[in-house]
Amino acid sequence: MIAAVGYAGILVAGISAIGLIVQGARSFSGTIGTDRLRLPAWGIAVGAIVAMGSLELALLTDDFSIEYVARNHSRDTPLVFTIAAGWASLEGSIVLWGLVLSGFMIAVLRSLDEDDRSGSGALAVMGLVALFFFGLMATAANPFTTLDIVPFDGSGANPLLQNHILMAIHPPMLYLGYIGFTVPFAFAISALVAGDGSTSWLQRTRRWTLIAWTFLTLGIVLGAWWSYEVLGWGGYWAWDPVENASLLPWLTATAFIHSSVVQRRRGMLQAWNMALVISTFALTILGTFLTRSGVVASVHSFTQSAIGPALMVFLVLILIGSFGLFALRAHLVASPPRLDSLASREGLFLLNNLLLAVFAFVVLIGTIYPLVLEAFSGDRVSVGAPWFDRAAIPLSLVLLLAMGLGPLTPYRFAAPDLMWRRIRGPLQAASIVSVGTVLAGVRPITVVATIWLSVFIVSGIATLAHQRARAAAAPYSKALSSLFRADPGFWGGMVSHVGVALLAIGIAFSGSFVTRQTIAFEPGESALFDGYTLTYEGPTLRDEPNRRVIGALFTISRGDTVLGTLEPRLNQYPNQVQPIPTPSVRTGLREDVYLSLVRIDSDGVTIDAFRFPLMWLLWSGALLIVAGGGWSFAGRKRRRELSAAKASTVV
Amino acid sequence: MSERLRTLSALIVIGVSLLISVLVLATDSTGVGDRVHSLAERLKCPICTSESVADSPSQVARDLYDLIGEQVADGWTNDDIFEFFVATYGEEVLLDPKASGVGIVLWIAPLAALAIGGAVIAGRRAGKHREISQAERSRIATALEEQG
Amino acid sequence: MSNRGRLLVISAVSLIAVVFAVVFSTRFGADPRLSPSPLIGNPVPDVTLDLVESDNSLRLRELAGQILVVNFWAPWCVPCRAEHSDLLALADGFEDLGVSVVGVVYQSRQDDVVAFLDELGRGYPVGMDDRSRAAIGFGVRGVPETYFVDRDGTVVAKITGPISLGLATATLDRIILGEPVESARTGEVQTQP
Repeated sequence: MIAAVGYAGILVAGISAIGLIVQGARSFSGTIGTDRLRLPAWGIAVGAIVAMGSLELALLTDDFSIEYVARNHSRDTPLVFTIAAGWASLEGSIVLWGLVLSGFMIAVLRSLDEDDRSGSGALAVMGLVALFFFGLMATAANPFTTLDIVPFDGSGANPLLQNHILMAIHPPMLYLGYIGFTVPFAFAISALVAGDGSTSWLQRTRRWTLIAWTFLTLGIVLGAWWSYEVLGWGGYWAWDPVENASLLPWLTATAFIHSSVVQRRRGMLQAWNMALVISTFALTILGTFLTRSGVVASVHSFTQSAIGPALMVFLVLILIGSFGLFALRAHLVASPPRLDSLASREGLFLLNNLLLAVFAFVVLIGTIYPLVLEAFSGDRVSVGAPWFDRAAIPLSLVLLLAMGLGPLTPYRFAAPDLMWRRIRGPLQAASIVSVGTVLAGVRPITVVATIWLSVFIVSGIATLAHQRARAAAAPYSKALSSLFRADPGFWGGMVSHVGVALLAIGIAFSGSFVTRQTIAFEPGESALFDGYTLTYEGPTLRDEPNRRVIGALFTISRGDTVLGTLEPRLNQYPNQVQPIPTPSVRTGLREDVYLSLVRIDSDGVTIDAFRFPLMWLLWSGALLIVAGGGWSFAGRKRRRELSAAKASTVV
Repeated sequence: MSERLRTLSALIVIGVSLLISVLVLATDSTGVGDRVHSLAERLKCPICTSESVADSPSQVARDLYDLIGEQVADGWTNDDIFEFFVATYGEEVLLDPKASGVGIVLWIAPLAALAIGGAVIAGRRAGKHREISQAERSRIATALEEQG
Repeated sequence: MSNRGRLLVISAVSLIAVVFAVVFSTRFGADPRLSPSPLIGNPVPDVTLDLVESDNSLRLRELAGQILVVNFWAPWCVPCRAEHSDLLALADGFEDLGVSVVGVVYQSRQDDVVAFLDELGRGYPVGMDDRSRAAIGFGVRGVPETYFVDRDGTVVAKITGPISLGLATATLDRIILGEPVESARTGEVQTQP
């Protein structure tokens, strides 16, 4: 029964998608008004809600007649993971995809004017994308396949997915990001088809881009955090194909966010912006494909499935269709090159774009080269962290430099004397701090360079804010806060820049000064680890509804001061032989102490102990990047409401 | 005068800091790094999906790590060690593909992309038309900035 | 953009897309973890095993002149239980034809090995793999894996996953007759307990 309702929802959404394509195209050509798009768009949304709702209902009511429920849920699964099971596995994740996409479509629908060709065209494009995904759900990835013989209980979710709460939040965030890029993509395609050279597509989608970018960033950060908290090897980023798949659209989207500023301010780069948006969208589909087709081995990948070929065909169609369209029509929309001088803010934006594009290319090559090589020659190679690091570190350092200079550099042309006056303060701050760290014993040179650049970035932004606030008539603190409110796009960006600077220091420190030691303990035994004393108090054991948790209790002390207890654990799930570790982390101002349980029996335990300096800086920097993104779109909205309120009082 | 003084003091601060940093970093003998660990980071743990020998908590990875330690102690060169592992596990044991043979693409492609991109931007710059002189523009820009 | 430029972009993108498609089509259904052994055609690695329930050790190269079946296994490995009786039969059946079966224990404790053998039977020498040296020498990625070595001491084939008596017999027959043999994958290997 639930299965039938859910499947009907998918069909309704799919048919509505066809309706939206047809009506969108008619409205685009001016035959009908945009009010006729309302029915099909809402049809998709209602269908998607019904489908997702049915799936959740089936999970919550233990309806094991549905194969998806039987495979991804069991009676013992805790509530939060039961709900998360609705998108934790392949078919469900596609349903969530459809739901989020329909949400974006409704938002676009509500922004339409009565006669809105570019918006109608964009909705038609989104309808095409929706048709593909609902078509997938109706065929190859049907979540509502029923079983003839209904099992009494299901096998439960993949242990890795029900081991930590982050796994319930990380994928939806990532999807909000991925799918959000459909909006600028759709508007860009619509503008290309119309041959509309105005920047309205960019203005209209800027907010969507920022929202998508912010959620994508959050999704990536949560994924990294999950890696750190769960996988037990102490890392947060392994250059794994699936991680790379989420980084790729992030890189091109970040490039787009910057280059769209240039277009708004200086009217340049229209065609390049469209290419970036199309690439970003194509990369989100590539990421989806890599994750869900089983072509790459990854700690994150879903199992092999029939949707791989479908996604691949879709990707090929997008690439040929949209870049073909781009090649045919870009001359109609392209803006004239108006670059006065490379020594200008535009010039730095171009540098930023070049580096981010090359970065994305490097990550793409490294990720798919092993597949390409094996397909053509049968040779197998691995491309791992050392290779990616070698490319990513210099690119990142130059990006940081551009990031430090950019906000201080004027548009059009940066006169040397003016530039010098602006940067000498930050330069001094950076030099003094970095010489201090060098004298304090910080090595190697890449870490020192990172500190130098980060201080340069932060002090540059601080100087900028300070000068503007001091120049204002209002009292200093008030002027500072109104500064942030007046231009949330810029200052949100600056908050993100500060976040990047902190993140860079966190990455450099935690990566360069990690200590790792494997230690075996007998019960009651103590051992020294990097200035700390770890004492093994004994094993712990408790049965939870969905798993058995075997832990090892440690007290950690420094000198005579007991700092607390740590309990790294192994979680044994009934549906998997191999236990899933849960490391135990003590976060401090200086460093994290991270214990991961390797082996435990009656004789004692073996643990991996790690010390990662300044991890909190890494995470707070990452969250600050997200916050900056959030401020730039939330603040923008408030500003618009404010001006609308002002306008109405004037009337 | 105070402007020139500021410039001078800034140059001194930056110059001295830079000089000290360079001198200290150049004469530094520590920080050579742990050779065994850096080798282990460049070899893939054979039973893992993307972890290196250095990162994997598995017992095999630990045994491999110890073996690398012995090889280093026995005076093997890095190439000897890589060759040994390639002979048993195949090329894919190297997380950092060699810059020869099939791996060459991975080394050339990024540099080529950087060069092409740079050339495109430079070409864009060259294509512009000059109406006012650089000095004039500099003056205008400065004046505008001073005002705003 | 000029007409030629447009054509160029379209054909380049189409080419890339099609290459993509071809590349990935070959990968559907393939196991990304499966990989060939570089050992095939090379001399058997020089490894020495500490024999279980014995004070002796066994150096594989000292068995030169015999055909070797080197089976990596572990007591915690589920498919290894399934293939054990076939290995016993193989050792028994081919003994007179100059074939030696050697078991190598992967990542396990001797007590568990003895318990396993008590339960499922003995019939050929089994050695402990000190510090995984044998497994590293052979490039083992999981258990069970079985390597076939001809009389010249050259590794000629590898079976990944549990052996079946039929497949192993056929492989040995061909080696005895001096015919070329092929490696095979019969199922999953287990990497950890």
